[in-house]
Amino acid sequence: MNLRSSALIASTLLAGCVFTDDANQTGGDFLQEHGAAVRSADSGVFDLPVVSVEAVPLEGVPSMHGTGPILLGSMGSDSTRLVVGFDLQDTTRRNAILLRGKDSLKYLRLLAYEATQGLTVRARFFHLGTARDINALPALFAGLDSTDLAKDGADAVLIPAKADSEYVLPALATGESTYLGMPGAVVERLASALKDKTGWFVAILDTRTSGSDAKARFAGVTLVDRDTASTSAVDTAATLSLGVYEDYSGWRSIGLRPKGASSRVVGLWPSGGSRLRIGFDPEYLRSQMRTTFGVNRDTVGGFDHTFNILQARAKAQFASVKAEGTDPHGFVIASTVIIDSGLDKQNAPKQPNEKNYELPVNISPKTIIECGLDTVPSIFFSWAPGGFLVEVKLDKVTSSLPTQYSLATGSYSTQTVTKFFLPLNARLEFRVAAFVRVRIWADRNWAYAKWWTIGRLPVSDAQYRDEDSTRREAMFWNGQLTTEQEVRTPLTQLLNHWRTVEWEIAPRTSADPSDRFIAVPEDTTTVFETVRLKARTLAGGSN
Amino acid sequence: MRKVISFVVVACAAGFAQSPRNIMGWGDEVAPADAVSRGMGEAGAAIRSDKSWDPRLEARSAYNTLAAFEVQIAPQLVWVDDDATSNSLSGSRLPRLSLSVPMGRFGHLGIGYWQRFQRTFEWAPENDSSIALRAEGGAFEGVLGYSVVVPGVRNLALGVTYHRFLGTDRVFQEEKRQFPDEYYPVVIRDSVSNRYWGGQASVSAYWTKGDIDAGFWVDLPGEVELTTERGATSQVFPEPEPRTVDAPQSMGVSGAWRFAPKQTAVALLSRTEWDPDALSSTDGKNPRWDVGAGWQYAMGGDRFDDYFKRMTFRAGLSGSVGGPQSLLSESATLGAGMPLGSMGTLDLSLQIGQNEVDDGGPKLKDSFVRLYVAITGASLWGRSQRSRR
Repeated sequence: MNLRSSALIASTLLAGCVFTDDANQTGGDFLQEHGAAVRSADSGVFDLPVVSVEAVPLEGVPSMHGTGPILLGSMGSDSTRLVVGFDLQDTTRRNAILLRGKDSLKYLRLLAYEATQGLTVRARFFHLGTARDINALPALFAGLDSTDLAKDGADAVLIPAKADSEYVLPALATGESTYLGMPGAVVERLASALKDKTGWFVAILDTRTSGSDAKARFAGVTLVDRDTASTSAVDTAATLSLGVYEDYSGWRSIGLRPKGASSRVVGLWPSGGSRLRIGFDPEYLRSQMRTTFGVNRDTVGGFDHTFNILQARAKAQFASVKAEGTDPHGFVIASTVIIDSGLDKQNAPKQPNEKNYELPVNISPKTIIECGLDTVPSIFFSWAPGGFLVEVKLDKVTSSLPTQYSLATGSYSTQTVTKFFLPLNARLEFRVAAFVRVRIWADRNWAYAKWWTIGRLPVSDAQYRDEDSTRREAMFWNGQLTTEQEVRTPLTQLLNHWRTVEWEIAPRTSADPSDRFIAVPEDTTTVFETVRLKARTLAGGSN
Repeated sequence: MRKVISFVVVACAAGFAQSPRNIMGWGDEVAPADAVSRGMGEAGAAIRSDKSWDPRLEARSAYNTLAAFEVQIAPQLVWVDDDATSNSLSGSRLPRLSLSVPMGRFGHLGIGYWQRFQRTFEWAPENDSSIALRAEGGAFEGVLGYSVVVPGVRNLALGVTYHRFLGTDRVFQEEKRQFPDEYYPVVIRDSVSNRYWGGQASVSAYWTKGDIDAGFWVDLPGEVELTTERGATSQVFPEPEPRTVDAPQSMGVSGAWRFAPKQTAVALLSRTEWDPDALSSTDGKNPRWDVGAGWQYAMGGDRFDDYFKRMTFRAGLSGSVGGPQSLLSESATLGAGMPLGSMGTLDLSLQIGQNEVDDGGPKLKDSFVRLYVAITGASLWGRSQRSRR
């Protein structure tokens, strides 16, 4: 082989050679100094700089009245009210043969869905005699008291039965019935109304056993003439079944907190629930972290990219936790990044029969396109005792908007209409699209709609310990008052100071619509006490 | 030529593992020296040649007589040291490709690719396998040059070169953390990417007479649009906005002296100044000074002599001090030129040296052994077989 060939082969071999191509491990300090963060995570515990806490309705909990077992009971100081309504005009709901010429119904019959505990209840009876009176029906279904309606000048449309009676419901086996004998005045009023076939008859049952955890679930509630001792759901005696209101059976179980108790709780009731929305001061947290980790600010284009948070666990201490059953309950932490917001308002209808007032939610055309909507969502307000009947119309949206105040939904070609009863000054929040949330409220002068466009889907951080189980520390059960929630995902963006970031802590919803849960934070002004972070500075910090 | 292409393909398949120093500035800057100059301390930009081309000193090529295609590949072994640890790396680089086309009395046209900056490196902590830092790419130059012997002054040539900066580099970091009480690991990714786009012209002059050759070049002011884009898990960054910075501007002189029939001495001195806005850190010395000196011994045999007698041997020293940031580099070279065919050459240059970062921060020194393998294919384009003879 001549020298030329040897040179060629040697150079080719050398050019392709690779001696040791493991990643280099030398020069970490040098890289760190030149802005390539190569340190492992650092950790620290920080105060959470809370600037706002508010309770908002639990989103997406189906709470249409007339679905699931009928519930009545109490849990700690909270209770579940049962409102049942009978449509006296609806002849299909009555046992027509026996009621003909014999219009006296004396008992409220409660048929046990399962073995129930004994309860002491307070019962109130109302007759809504005219079409104008029936306007108060949504308010009663929403849990408003007649006194609240009276404050709103609605007492003229309500006709109390002038009876407020206390009853002891015995413990029942599954399928057993108990009968509440109604006072004479009520029976007389009902008989008269049945004869005329006018209006609705409403019974409101509240528990008297505050402080206990008793509850009863019923398969059905009917008005009957006498005790037939029947174990069948269909009485052979004179009977009137629950009415139908907005396509749903006329009953509602409503979660109530005692008067004067804080509304800042994490709750799950058959009629909906409550979540806590918490806003933070990012600058304070940022400065704490800089001090603890000993690093300087790193900003690019006005954004702060000093830290990337690998793990964040926020600790909350609760004063009381009441939960249905013995199984631990999980929480979810939803996080929201606010991109934009706006407030729209319109005159509110001030009296009955006033025309619908339309309040468009003026989100931008760009957002409308991004959401897949055709036009801006429209909200129509009409007057009702104690509040407003509200319709939300959405184009190109097929799902309804279930909230604790939903009455009914309907679809008309490409349009979905959801009906609500909105109590006076109550706030109702729902999402008209995945990235647009809307809050409405109204007083007697103005109706408001505030909207937010959201930059991140409010999906909870996984609280998994392993593939199939939730971290025990992130769960609640009776007596367990401390929880540590994994909330890392939005926290980095909070530090970016890009937008307002909110955490929303809510109970995991249960498959059983009668499950109840209430957790009262020890400090309702902060909810979370501290956050334990593992963080590191960003690669290329000074690049 | 087929052999040359095969060689390039094989060479390009080599791995790229470079020093963490490449994170500084725009990356590791590669000298554009031609095949002959590599063996002479990269200082032979002015040595008279019939086929060499230097993107800085285009004017020299006005005297070229051969059309030449040159490929350089440089496998290297690098020892990286800091205060605590050391490690060895290997890889290769492809510093330049060029085509030199003499056009007789119409002058000379040179076109080339110059991998001027290299960001490439990999790094991982010694005791933590969860973190990996990786960088790749770099800004390179597409170069187009034209030179001509000044009519009436046959010893003087002038040249102009246009440098087009382009390319992208990226630094990636990935950290994977598994917390003991969670099933899913957390993976955080960060990246910093730079895009370069800009142009710069330079002018050069070359004078040759008897045993003395000398060249001078200077870069004219140019601008580079630099777009830095950052990304990281769970972080939101503003839209990247390009910023315009001055291109690094250099000027230099080089000379060659044939002090004996077969021996030549060469020297080079250049100065490169950086726009402080072009660098993330303005620490360090600016400008940078490069200096080199070398020697060549050409055996001078013709095609009928033994192969050894047709070879050329070279040696040299080079050094630099200054920016971006504070680098101190020294190297020594040994080279050999071997004829390939009737006009081509294979030039091997072994370079041994070290780079030290001297900016008052953590120490980093990389010592390297680099073998520049340059193949130059040459031909007499545009001339008949008869005239070639």
